[in-house]
Amino acid sequence: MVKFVVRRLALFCVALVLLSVVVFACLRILPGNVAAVMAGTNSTPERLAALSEQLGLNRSYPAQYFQWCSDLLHGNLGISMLTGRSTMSQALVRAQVTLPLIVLGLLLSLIIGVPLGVLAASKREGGLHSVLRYVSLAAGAVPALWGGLLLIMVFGKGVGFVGILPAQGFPDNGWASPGQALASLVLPALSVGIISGAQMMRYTQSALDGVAESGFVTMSMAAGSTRARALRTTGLRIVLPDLISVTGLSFAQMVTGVLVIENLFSLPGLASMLVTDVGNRDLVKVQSELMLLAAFFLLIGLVTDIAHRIADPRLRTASAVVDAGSGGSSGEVGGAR
Amino acid sequence: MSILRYIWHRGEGRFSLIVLGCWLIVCALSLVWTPQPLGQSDGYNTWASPSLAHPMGTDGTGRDMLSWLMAGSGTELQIVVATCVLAALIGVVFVSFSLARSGLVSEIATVITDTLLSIPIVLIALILAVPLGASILVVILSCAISYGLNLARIAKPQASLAATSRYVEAARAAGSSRWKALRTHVLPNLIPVFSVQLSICAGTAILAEAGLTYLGIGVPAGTASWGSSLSSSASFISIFPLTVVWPGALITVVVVALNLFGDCLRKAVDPVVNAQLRASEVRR
Amino acid sequence: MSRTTNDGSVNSVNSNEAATSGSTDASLASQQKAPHAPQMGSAPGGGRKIVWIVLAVVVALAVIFGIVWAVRSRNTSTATGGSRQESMTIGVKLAPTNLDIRNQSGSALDQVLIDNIYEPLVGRGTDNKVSAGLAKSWDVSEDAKTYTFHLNSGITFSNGDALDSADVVWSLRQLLEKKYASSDQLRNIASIEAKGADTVVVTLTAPYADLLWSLSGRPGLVFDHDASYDAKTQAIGSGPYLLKTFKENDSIILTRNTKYWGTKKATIKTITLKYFADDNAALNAFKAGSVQVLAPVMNAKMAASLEKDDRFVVGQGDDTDKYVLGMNNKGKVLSNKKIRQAIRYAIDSKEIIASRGGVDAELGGPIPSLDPGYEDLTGLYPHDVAKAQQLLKEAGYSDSKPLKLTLEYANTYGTEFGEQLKSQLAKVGIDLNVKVVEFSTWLQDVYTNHDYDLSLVDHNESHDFYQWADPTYYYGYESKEVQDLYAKSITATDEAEQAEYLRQAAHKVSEDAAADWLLNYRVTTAYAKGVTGFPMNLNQSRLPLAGVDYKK
Repeated sequence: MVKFVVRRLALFCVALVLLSVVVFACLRILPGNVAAVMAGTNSTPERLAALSEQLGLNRSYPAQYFQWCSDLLHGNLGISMLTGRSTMSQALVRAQVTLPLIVLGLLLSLIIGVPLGVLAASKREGGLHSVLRYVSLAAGAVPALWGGLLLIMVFGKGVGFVGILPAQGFPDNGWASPGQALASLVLPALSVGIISGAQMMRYTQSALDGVAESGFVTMSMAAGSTRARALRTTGLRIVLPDLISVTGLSFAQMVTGVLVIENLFSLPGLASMLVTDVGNRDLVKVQSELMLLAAFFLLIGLVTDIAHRIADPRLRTASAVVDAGSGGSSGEVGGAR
Repeated sequence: MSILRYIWHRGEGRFSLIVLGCWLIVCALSLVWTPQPLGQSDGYNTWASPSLAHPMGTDGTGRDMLSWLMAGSGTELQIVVATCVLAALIGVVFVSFSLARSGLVSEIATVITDTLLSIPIVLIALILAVPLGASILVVILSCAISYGLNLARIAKPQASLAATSRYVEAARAAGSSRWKALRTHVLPNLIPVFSVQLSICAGTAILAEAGLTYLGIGVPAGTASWGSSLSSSASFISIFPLTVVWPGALITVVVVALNLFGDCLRKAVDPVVNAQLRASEVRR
Repeated sequence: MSRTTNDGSVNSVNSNEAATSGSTDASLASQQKAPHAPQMGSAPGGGRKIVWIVLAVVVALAVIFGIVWAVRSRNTSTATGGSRQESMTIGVKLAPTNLDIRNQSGSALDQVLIDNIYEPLVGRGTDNKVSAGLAKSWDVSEDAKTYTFHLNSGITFSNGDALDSADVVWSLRQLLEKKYASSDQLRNIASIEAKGADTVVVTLTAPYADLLWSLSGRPGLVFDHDASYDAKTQAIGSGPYLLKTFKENDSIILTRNTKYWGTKKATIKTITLKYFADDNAALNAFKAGSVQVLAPVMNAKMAASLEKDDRFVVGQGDDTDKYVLGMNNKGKVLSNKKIRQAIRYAIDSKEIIASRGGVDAELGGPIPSLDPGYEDLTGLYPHDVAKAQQLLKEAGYSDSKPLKLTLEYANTYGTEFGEQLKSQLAKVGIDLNVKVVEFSTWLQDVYTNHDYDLSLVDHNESHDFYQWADPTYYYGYESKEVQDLYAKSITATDEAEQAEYLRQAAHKVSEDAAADWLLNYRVTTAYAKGVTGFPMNLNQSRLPLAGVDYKK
């Protein structure tokens, strides 16, 4: 176990270094620079040169790269050339919107997905089974943008049929007014949560279906348990490690939807910041932001893997057995994207 | 063919085949004919309601929505096909590497698949969009990288089972090269899982296209795509709600069809895989 | 292959497909479990049960809390009536990334900072003419080379420092010395001197007709010599409002400067400028009442839906935004005047304006109606497909050899323009390739490297004719006649004379088809009933908020 964690940590570091090079290189291929953006359409070449000098854009790439790396190692993500604020503080402010949104969305998706998935798996036929199946299929196939728009049309304050929830914006003083902040996150979180929940539900169901064929559930049923109960107790326990993996993955995979939804609801989150910064060629800031996000997701991956390890006793003894569930279950991982 | 027949004989499968068939037909059709010429816009007639001339109405530049969506189906198909091919390639390469004899190579392959898997598509796309700008390539590459790695990870257990099977042992004993054994005995075993995964990946590529295009890093302006139709009409949903219905509904239906197709495909091919898995388990 | 699969499907009926194919075992099993079905809703047993309950409760509480709050806040907001509001929110479009008005270009900064936080030496009205500002009056010498400004007395910055002639002189000199943004608008300056605490004398090497107008904009802003602050995130000026908070790309909150020196004190205590990147979100916010003014309503079609609502007032104002279809006059193809003319004939501005809701004005030349030298030039190149085709033919292009051009413009203007132009030019046989890029890429390709055929920019600056007299500007337009006329116009000592020279120059530029002017943007503003004093003209580049009032 210790060896596994150490190895995984080492991988984490290697991946980070590789990513930093890729990110840095990608950003230098771009045409245009931040000085030109600042100077705008009515500037003279001298003014451009003066600004470039002032912003340190004239140094060599390796020099800029190593400077950036050493700053990163010191926890200094740099100061935005454009806004003059520290990237870290700006990112933290923005993350206060994005992270709660992701977490709320994920919670919703688990709350919707897992119980309904169990329900669908235990009802193997009949109306409810089909209804659940079709609902999850359709809901999982909705583009996040469209889902959000439909929710706004139904619940959006001022525009919807039942206009009860704010359809845009975040309170100016942020979480200082928690009710307002939470209210403004309800519709966005629902948008991502329902879609991701439908996928989670399909996943849970198909994983449980796989397990149902295994001996464990049959044994449990032989011991007097109903199929439904056997699935809830034994079945869930068996698919738990895979569920953890999928949850970790969907965390990362929900992000595309989250960024779209953030824009749609004009929430001042990381998405709008990243997209504008790329547009403004605020390179130091963009590369630090990308690194920060990448590191964050790598970390989630790391934690997920370790949790998966802990939850799965078979892996602890390190003999990889392909259980009946994995063929069907991991098949759905792609679907969660 | 018999797989298709099997799928056709199930209600869901038939639905998915019909939808996907229509998609292909419309793609081919849009190359030669659309109800209105593609480049034509009519500024006096923007956001028109559905009429005989424009069965789905017009968009913000006065273009015929139906023609534009038809043209978009071609773009969508390009994205889906290119993504799937690339993803399959990446998947095969990484699976092969992870089976390599050299510990280092397989280790590296595992490192890359395991760690990079946790990087979301949109982040890959953002990094790629910086040098490439908004382009179809960004959608294809970011999806292909992400799904390719995912494929490799999913297919790995079956690949390693197949690699340790008696067939490979026998083939190796008979003097065939590692590569040949891989090609003849391992990779064919992966076709079922790959085809199932790729049909799901096709659906999610369409969804990703819509999201990335909305964020301004997907399909560029002037290129027809369902995502760009969706995002350009999104701003007007409260005034012209009908216009936004079409692209959204279209995407949903096609993605559902692709997912159903994947489901049916799995059912059609799964027992074959399972039989071999069971066989190899017994041998152990 | 087919055998295997057939076997496989039989297998699958037994294993996976019990649900639909109705295996006896499975249906027995499902009947058996039916009585227990109601239990399904309950959580799985053991320790996990608690986790689930907690999770469900947390989320349920969150949702309920949110809904209750939303409903309650809605009630309270409708309960009050008839009295002046302490605060209001204005929805705007283009967000500043920082507040450093001396370095950062863009009208977003002018809009929020000038007249509200920083004040210029000379004021500017909504008719785009100069008026009294920090200087209550000024004298101009006979030869128009010496301007003497008399400052108001008792002016203070928001930090308490007095604003006197020393600050004015320092601000102007710094501008020229450090080449801050817009410094090129101050020309022919010989010296800037203080004469006592309340008089500033500016002497020129030659007359400069636009001096006063320039001083009513960015170049005339007066900063506190003695204050030190981070200009990117803070702002200390002499205006009627103070900067409270600034969230880049999101919002700016202004509060009333209670110690404002002037007579026109701010009415509303707190004003928030909220930036909306998404037009739909802006509209939703406005309809929901969380924003009281929306300037601009980006699309007139959206405005039409607001006009029907009796809670709102919708109006249009004039602006100096010129949507210029720039042509590379030094480019390989477009140096040919015939082709440029063909493009002008081919473009149907009326259609473009109609598609945007029919609010914008047609524009036939480089000078908009609010600027000196305006003349209606829309008759020079009316929409005429036949003429365009004829000119293209003369230039050597035909259906078999179509003209291929590229249009590159920044993504801030949306994709519609490119698509419409493509469609319109296609009708005369021009194959237009549209490239919509990031603003920074545009700056590099078009503005700096002049590597383009056609380009689209909203040149929103006022008094910006100099672009046509500068052959190194990205249009690459070079005309001795225009340069002479422009030179005469800036050294003119009389307003009418200046306008006449500009008119002639503009006429020549338009006649030469140096570019096409798609439209003169007119800003549509919507506000809730009860809002008064909101400027309708030019409010995208100047938004004086002191006179704005809101009662309900």
